[in-house]
Amino acid sequence: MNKIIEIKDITKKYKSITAVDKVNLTVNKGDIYGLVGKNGAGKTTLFKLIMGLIPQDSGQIIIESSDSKKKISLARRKLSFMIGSSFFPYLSAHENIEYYRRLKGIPNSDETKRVLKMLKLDNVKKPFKHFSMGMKQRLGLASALLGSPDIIILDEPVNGLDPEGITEIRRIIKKMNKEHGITFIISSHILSELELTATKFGFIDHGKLLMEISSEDLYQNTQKSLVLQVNDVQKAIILLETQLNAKNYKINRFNEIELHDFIEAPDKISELLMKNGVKLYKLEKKGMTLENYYMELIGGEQNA
Amino acid sequence: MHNYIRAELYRIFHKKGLYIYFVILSLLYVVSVLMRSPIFSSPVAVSDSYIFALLPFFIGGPLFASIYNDDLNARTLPPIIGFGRSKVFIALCKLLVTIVMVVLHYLLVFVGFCAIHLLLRTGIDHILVSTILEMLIESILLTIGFILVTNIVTYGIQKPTFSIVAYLILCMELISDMVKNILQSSMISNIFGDLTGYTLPRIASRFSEGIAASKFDAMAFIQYLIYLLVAFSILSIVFNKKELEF
Repeated sequence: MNKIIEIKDITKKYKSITAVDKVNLTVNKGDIYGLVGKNGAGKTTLFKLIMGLIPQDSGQIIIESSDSKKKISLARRKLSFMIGSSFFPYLSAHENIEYYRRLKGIPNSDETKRVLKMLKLDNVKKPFKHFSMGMKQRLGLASALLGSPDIIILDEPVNGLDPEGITEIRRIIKKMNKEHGITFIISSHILSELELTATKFGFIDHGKLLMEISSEDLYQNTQKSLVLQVNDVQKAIILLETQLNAKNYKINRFNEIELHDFIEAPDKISELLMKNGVKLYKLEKKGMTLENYYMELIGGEQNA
Repeated sequence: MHNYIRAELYRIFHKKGLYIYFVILSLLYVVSVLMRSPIFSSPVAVSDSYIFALLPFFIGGPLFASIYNDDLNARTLPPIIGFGRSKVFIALCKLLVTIVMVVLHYLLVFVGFCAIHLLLRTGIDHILVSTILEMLIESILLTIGFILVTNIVTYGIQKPTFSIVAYLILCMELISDMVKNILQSSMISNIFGDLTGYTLPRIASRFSEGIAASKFDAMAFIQYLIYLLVAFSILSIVFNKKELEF
């Protein structure tokens, strides 16, 4: 895999507070990288460092193999981002995007229309100050997509959007990633949404990157139990205990057995029960949500 | 640099509020001319007029707000820096935009002034035009100088309200009088001599007087450039040290 952004041992301190602490992070070309962390965990500081808004105290940032100050500065021109709303309130959607198109030196004037159409803002004439939160978020994404950059950083892109808007943003991100190969780095508080979008996750807490994991590995790690719905719960439990020595189970409120053993061998369970005349109505893997996984990783809800 | 300046001019020229402001200002001026005519056409009367003395306040204020404050309010600087532009680059582009906008607007003031007086038949003559030109040149130099000095505060504090207030205060004679008093104090004058001729308003005045007399006061021009250079250097250092909020 081609590394598009590589962060090595980066540290940023504000007086006595260490906002980012020896973080190592790798984003590969084509990733949709979900950065997960609570408020004050260091996400925004990390974004600021990547974008060059603040200097690091130590460590190194490599963007598209550029590691010298001058080369990184040029590489950053292939990077776009949406952090909050950076638009002039008196300009319309078209005028705001046109401003950024001119600033970025994108010669094709149709580019403004293209991104506005993509985000369904091409017919909006009113000034930005009269936009709804959803429209502001969409304009932010339109600006980030301007000129089809190699990397787009999105901070809370679905904040304030209705379910339809959230689905639409997800669709656009996935489309741009798939069709144009744009790499995304996204932070979001709506972890269930991030779970549906990201292909790789980084968990950050107190300035430290706790873990980087692919969505496939995360899926494997979060499959925590097998849920069994049977006609005779007592008989099934006796069979599981005596025949398979299964001890980690509980009966949930739907009178289903939640088995924490044999997660990777559901065929063994079904075979045992059916052989012994227990009717099996349901056998499925039950996973943890990304939110639960993150909470477990940072040490429970008391830390959240 | 060309792209950034082009983008800045595009968005400033699309700010409808600025047009409305200048239309209202022009109408108020027409009313004042009608009320004061014919005395107003005397060059002496024009020189003494507070209307022209306050041009950096009335013309420079909205321009300053449009060029600098709008960026702080809309938080548009982080995306520009994130795009790989340095803070010094931004400050330099903004200075060039300032010069273009200030010169353009004062030119419009001059054209508008002549047009109004011709239309209202107030008896405009070449002496009056020459006096007005002298005042406008002085105002251009002062406006650019004041904006640059204020930008030390603008980029250092990054609070839009604070920076516009700082600019408007600087435009008032109160500050220059205070500086003059300090420079005239025995503690300063005994050591450095008379420095009152080196204040920004005095330099701008000397230069514009020279132009009115068809002379190019090179010394005043160099002193003015030194002012700009020092102010730009300080604001670059301040801007580089200050983390942008977003």
